[in-house]
Amino acid sequence: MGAPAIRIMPIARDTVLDPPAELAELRNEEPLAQLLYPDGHVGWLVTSYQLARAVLQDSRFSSRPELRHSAVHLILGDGKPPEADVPGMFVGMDPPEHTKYRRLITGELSVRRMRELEPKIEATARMLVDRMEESPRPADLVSGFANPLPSKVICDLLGIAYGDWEKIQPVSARMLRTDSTADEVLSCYRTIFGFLSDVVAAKEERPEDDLISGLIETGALSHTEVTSIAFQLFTAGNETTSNMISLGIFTLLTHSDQLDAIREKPALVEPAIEELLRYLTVIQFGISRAALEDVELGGTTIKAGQTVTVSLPAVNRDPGRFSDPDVFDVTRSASAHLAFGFGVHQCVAQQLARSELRTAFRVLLERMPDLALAVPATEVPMREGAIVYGVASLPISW
Amino acid sequence: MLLQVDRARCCGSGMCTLRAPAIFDQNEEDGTVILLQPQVRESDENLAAECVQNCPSGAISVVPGATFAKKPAAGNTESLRRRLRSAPTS
Repeated sequence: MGAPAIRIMPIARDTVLDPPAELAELRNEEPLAQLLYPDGHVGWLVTSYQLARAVLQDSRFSSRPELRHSAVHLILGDGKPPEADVPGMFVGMDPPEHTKYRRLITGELSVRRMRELEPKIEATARMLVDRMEESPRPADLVSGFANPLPSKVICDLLGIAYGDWEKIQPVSARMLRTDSTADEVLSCYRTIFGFLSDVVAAKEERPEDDLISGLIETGALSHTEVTSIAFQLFTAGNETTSNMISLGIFTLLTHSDQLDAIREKPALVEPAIEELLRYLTVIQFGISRAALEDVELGGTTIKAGQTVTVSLPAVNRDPGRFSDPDVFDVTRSASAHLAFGFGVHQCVAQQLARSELRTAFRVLLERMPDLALAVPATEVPMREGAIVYGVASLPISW
Repeated sequence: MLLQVDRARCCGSGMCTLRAPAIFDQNEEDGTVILLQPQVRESDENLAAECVQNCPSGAISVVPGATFAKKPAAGNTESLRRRLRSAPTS
């Protein structure tokens, strides 16, 4: 008798807004299950809320990319930089090194700072709606609004001229495509890094009132470190928020009772954002860590060197934490979701994302009282297989 | 309910300040937690417990055995805040 086959990461969805059904079965029967990685590594898949929190809060699990295996894509790893050993890539560091870098930007991304930024985000959102008003209908919400809004906002925050960014945007899109080769990803990465390096160099000469200039002024960072931090904020802050906006609107339009509830009571937009983050969890293949030593977890030993992948979508549908987890309910208290991860690496710009989402939904609902899908919901193309899930385009009328 | 925070553990996610701005704030410089109101009113205990649970780095906790502590006088709050700030961190 051979050993039982070890599963690979379930990725096929039966319905567009629900994670693969196999994840729910695993959570019931084997919330810590052996997982076969594409490179042959055997590690673990976590699907329960409690185990996910335990792993992500435990310093015996490392974020260092050279120790982790990627559960789905060999080329686009789980946040792996295409080039190793670039100073300042703190996403892939552990405390205390990670803490030193993170603390340099957390003050700039606090709840208060982001609230102060909202009028500027709103002006951008209104400008984009104005442009859509002038364009032929039906319009595509993704290219007309959801993509440019976060890019423009992060350009403003970092102090990058949006016109310059528009020139390099196609390279960024190419880098994140799942069908790109390793060489293509590396070449795109170098182009973007070079572009940002030039931006940093200009600000070293002539500081302005923006986050990059602020980082330079601390005097604590090298040119490459500042460029790395800018790179991480840029790449992490675009696709995620953009897909949450467009997939969020798709979800509301296909749950009209929920949309009506928000229209009736606009304050519901706050809990609705948390519920959308929980229900949609666009980091669809989750995040991973590597065990630095043998770790006992839920009665099982994870061996030093093994990768643990946490399925954030499965975790956020855990009935042990959220009642009727597969029901989309904007009135529920969903703030305990792990859509931004958990532990010291929890999304550093999550308050920026919230400010963008809250503003985007408010402006869209206000300016488009008759917002509707311009095609049947079943014809909306989904981003299957992408690291960040969402809709590829969203034809709308209003 | 009496709360304490460990700023050395804090990763500046802002989860506490987002949910309970009357109890928590964030340091201007590095975004780490500032405990505005260590003694939580009974009506806010669920909210405070939610913040303890949601803190990604485990930087907020309930002081053991202090659940029924009397509300400190205004003057005591500041010294308590100082004491908690200077407390050794785990």
